[in-house]
Amino acid sequence: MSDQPKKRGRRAAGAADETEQQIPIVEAKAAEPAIEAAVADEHDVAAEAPIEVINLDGDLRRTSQTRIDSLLSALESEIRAMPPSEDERESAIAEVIHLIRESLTRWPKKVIEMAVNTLKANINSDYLDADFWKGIGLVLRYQLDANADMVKRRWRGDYAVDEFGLDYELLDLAKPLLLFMYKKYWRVEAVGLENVPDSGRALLVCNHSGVLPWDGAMVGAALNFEHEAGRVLRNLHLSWFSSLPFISPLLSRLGQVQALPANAEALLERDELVGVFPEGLKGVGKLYKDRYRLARFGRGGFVKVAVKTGAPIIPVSIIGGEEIHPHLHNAKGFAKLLGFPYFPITPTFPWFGPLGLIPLPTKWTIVFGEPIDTEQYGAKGAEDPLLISQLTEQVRTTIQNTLLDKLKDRSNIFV
Amino acid sequence: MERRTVLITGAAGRWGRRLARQLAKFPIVRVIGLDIAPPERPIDGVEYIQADLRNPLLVELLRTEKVEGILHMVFTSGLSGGHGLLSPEDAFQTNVMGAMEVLAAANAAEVKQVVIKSTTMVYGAHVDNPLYLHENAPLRGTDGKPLLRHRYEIERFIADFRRNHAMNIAVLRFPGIVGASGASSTMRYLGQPTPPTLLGFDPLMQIVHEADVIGSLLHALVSEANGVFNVAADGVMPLSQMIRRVGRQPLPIFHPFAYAAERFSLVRNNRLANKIMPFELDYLRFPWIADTTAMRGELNYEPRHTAEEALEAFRSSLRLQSYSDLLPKRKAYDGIQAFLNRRSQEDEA
Repeated sequence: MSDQPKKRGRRAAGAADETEQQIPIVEAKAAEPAIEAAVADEHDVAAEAPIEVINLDGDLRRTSQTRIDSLLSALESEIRAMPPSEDERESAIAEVIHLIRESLTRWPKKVIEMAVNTLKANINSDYLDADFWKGIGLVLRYQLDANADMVKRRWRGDYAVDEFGLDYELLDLAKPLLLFMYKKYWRVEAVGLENVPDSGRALLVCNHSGVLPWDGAMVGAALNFEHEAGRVLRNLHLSWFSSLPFISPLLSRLGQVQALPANAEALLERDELVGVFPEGLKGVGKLYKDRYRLARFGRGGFVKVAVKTGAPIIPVSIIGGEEIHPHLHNAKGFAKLLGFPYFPITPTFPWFGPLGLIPLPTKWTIVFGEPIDTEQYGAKGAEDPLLISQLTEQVRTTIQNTLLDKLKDRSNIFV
Repeated sequence: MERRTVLITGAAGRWGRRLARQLAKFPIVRVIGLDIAPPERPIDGVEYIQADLRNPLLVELLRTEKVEGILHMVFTSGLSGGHGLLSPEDAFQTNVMGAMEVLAAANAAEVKQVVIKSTTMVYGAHVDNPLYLHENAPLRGTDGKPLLRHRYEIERFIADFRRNHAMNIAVLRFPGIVGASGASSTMRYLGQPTPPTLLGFDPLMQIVHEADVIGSLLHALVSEANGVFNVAADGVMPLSQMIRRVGRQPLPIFHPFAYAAERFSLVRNNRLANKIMPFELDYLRFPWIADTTAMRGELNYEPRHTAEEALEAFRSSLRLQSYSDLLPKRKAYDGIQAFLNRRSQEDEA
């Protein structure tokens, strides 16, 4: 793996340090008189001009300018009334008032009102610390600069991919979507993450399903977001994807590698985490009626690679993924016509066009099973067909049994 | 001290010339350069023989001169170079039959070491290629462009030849060659204002610095390497990134159109098309990256330049391309300045 992520990590950490220095943590001191004054002031302002009368249709210019001024001056006096806690308090207050005035006057008036009210509500918390705002400004500035800089750098070709084409910058860009799907959409629950080693090689064998291969992305997300070491999973994908425009480079940049024994071996030799879906096409194109029934596990090629490289096999059972696209019928004729491996008919696809690609928000559970040690067999074990078929069957049974156990406890696919 | 004799075939050519210049620096080596064309600028210490490679007297030459090593660098595109314009058949004769005859003659004259330059393109670009191709991977170079077929035929012949003969033959397979000289098909491709790529495809690519081509060929000769080795710089990167790194922007073309154009240009044997796209399109679509474990291990060669360095070297040479008329003046100025500096230092001493 390249040292890109480490470098980037260091840089981000540096930025965090900076901002932390900028924001001394102010203990929320209960300044009783100030709060009383604040409450009193708020009542005064409210009495002067009730907020309810302000609406966008009304004559904002006439009513608001004086109101805004009075609001701001009230806020200022409030801030000034705060007890000086440090030596540089005076200048800090002047600064914060300046900051507020400067940034607020650029906003629409209604927003200013809301902001002032929020500020007043938080008058005694850290939000009114000048250094806090400076810190926020710094972070925003940094982010903007970093984004602009990234576009410029990428235009010049100044970025790095690792030996298998993974571009960590693009992976970071994809993370918000993955995080949303993981946390909010499918509310994935990851069980047994401690079975995945913090470092070193391992082969994750998962059940495959769901018409579109979201399951691989979610296993990767679980390992990246929830595993202590934040590991990056390299999934092996169908060879068919490598022949497709746009999809082929996208998968490659996001760290996915074509499913070939030689690639799996090379990845494991470099101590990567490799995810395989031995059911392959038969899994991802599984019909709805066959959900959670494991298809044949290929020819056991994945076990061979694991034994050869001494990588532990971790059986991974994914519950919830098999229902995201109820695959009612495989229109083989269409598939043949389009050169697709299958053409799914689901309740929404192809009837609703691209909208039919929106998956169902099922509730997912991903169970990472106990690792199966393969080192004991030595590299020679890979040539033993009996051992390979036994191990294949063991992995398959483990996953199938875990699926059944979890299905038994599940009351509804959406909760 | 007895000098050891090395024969460089194709010594007037691009690689032969540079190898000869490097080898001639070693007093222990006696260099004989063989080429059908006279050298543009003869190199001091190199004995030139202007002759056709495919001559029965080659064995006699090797015997009487006690040649110990051969760097076989003859490979013509048939479009230019010392041979002038060659018909495809003549090019085949020179490239493939020439290599066969050199090997046969070397074996008969008991030459210790033969080094041959090849390309990783012989693996072919295929959708089911593993990302890293080892030396023993099947050679599936597509036979669309004749030159690649010549390489393939030579490699096949050598593999057969190895089985029956004990002579050391080192075959070094290089990916696209990049450096400051600007003279390789890869550099001609990358150096265009907007190199065409295939829309939606961006395979990982591998290159090698030209200094490492020379370095590894000489290393193979000196270390008496035997076998096939991939030699490439560290650092694979997507094709589009390579193009951007030399200061160009890729021009993506919808691939069915590109393939149609390719078929058309093949039929017409269009020189212009060949210039724009020196590779078959599959090489811009699927990976053909060679594994370099054996280069570090068995061959024991450590490349001196990374892919980034090679691209940067090419990029700076591109920046000066339009000032090529000024460069000799600059060189002359520097030369006189250096002379004056030397003289003043001598005076002080």
